[in-house]
Amino acid sequence: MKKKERSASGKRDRLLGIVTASPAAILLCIFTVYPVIYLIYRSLFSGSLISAEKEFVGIDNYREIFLDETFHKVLVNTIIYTVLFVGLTMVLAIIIAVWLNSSHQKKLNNMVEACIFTPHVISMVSVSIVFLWLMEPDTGFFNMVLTSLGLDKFAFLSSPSTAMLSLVLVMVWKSVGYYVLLVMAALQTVPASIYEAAELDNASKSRTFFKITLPMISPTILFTCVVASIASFRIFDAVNVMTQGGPVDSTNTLVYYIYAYAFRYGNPGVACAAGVVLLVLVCVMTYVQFGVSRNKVHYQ
Amino acid sequence: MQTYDRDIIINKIVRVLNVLLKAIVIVIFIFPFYWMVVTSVKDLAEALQFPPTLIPASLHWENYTHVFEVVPITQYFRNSVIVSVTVLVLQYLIIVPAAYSLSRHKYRGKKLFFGLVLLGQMIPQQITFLPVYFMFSKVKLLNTLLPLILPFISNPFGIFMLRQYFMQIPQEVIEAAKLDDASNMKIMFRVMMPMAKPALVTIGLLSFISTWNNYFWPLIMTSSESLRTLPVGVAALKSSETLQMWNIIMAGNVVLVLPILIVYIIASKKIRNSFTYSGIK
Repeated sequence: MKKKERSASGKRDRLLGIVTASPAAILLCIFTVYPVIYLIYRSLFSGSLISAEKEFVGIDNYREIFLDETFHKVLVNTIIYTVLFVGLTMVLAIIIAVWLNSSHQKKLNNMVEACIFTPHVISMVSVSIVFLWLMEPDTGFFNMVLTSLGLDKFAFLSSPSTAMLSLVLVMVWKSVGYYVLLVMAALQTVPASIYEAAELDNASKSRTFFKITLPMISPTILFTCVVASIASFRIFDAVNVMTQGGPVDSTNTLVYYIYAYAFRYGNPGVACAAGVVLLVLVCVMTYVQFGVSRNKVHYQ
Repeated sequence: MQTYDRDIIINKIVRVLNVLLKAIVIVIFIFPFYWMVVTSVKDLAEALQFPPTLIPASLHWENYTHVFEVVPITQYFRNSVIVSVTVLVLQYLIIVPAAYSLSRHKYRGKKLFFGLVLLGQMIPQQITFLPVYFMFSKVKLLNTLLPLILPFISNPFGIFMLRQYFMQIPQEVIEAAKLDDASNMKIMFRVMMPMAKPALVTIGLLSFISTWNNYFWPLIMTSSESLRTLPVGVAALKSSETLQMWNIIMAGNVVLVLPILIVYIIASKKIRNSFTYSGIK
């Protein structure tokens, strides 16, 4: 219901709304919408990074990556990394969060939380360099400790069979504190009355955990897992600083592959085609995320 | 009586174990930083020595002057500060009006704009970087700091978060201000902004930390050394003439870590709350 005398101020209101929104809207169009469209468009052309000349090649770039054995390996690596990283991080985060939540040493707990979270605010470059040094095969601290204990040296990042695991461990070390905080926030939402009831029933601690805590926080955990997976697809910094995808492509992941194709091999068409694959992965996972978050609301 | 005693003893043991375990966890997360600092003040021989020394035999602060000599780290530092601060300041000019518009105005295309904001949050840098690289290369701006600034000032997460905050402010408060003949500007600065202060601080902290730490974007957008930011410059240390000189590399690394670490030590709780908020929004 619009009143006549109001329509003048309504018009002004509309205009002001559009004017204040437009700078952000224009920037988002330039730096998000247009790049996504151009990425898809550019994936249909060949050409090089330096010259503007390009030739329409249809789906040739896609054919190239899907026939490329390295690309298969890259996809498998990305999935292995995601599963290992998300699984390990979430299990550790739940254990630590429940543990901290159940012990009443407030000051100490706060200190533990602060310390675990520190790596999350530190640049991935710094973390990668420090761990590169700690994991150095000959003079690194970890292997010095292992040899002084009379154990064999561990290859860490220098062997194809252990590089991926080492990479995952570094990333878990960096990120677990963040997920501990998220799980702790979820734990706060479980009503205390339920625990009191369980206590009255003399339920054991493990029973309380598996029958009450876990089901109550599982929607949040599921949501967090999906978000963490999307973040995992994008791993690049640690790979570029620590391994450059090696040894023998054992840590070559999707974004590194895109980067290498564009800036090492100077073939942006193929890089864009691989970028479209990443786009599809992110879209699918975001769709899952929305589904899961609807569930989350439903449970609450 | 006896079981009571036993309970006390068990409780004590559990407490001691708890403290011990927590101490171990703290060490696991702090030791790498300690190792970085300690290595940065050792001489090369001691840095590579077996068994490693946990406390350096002598302090070699000249590693820091050395790292300033081998790479233009002052330049990197300056670039990092310029980029992080410019993004921090400019984004408020863009996102505050945008969020206000989304929460308080009615117009056609608002839903579309909100969709844009959600899309902006969903699409990562790793998807947009090549087209944006081509774009800046076409307008010949790749040899400036603009590619490191412009794409980040329309921070979609910031718009989203501020909108939620603005929407929580009761309409009556604004109506009351309007009755007092307050202008839109006045309502914005005197009513809305103070009430959204926690959100503004959170957005600022998260934006500064992520811009300062960003490695991927400046790595792609900058080719000349004079435009590099600290993460790119420090990462390059390990492949340049300082190869295997871990003490020098660690000195550079300390320069990169220190500003954020100081901010974190000052505002640890606030920063943790900000990240938690952004994770469960």
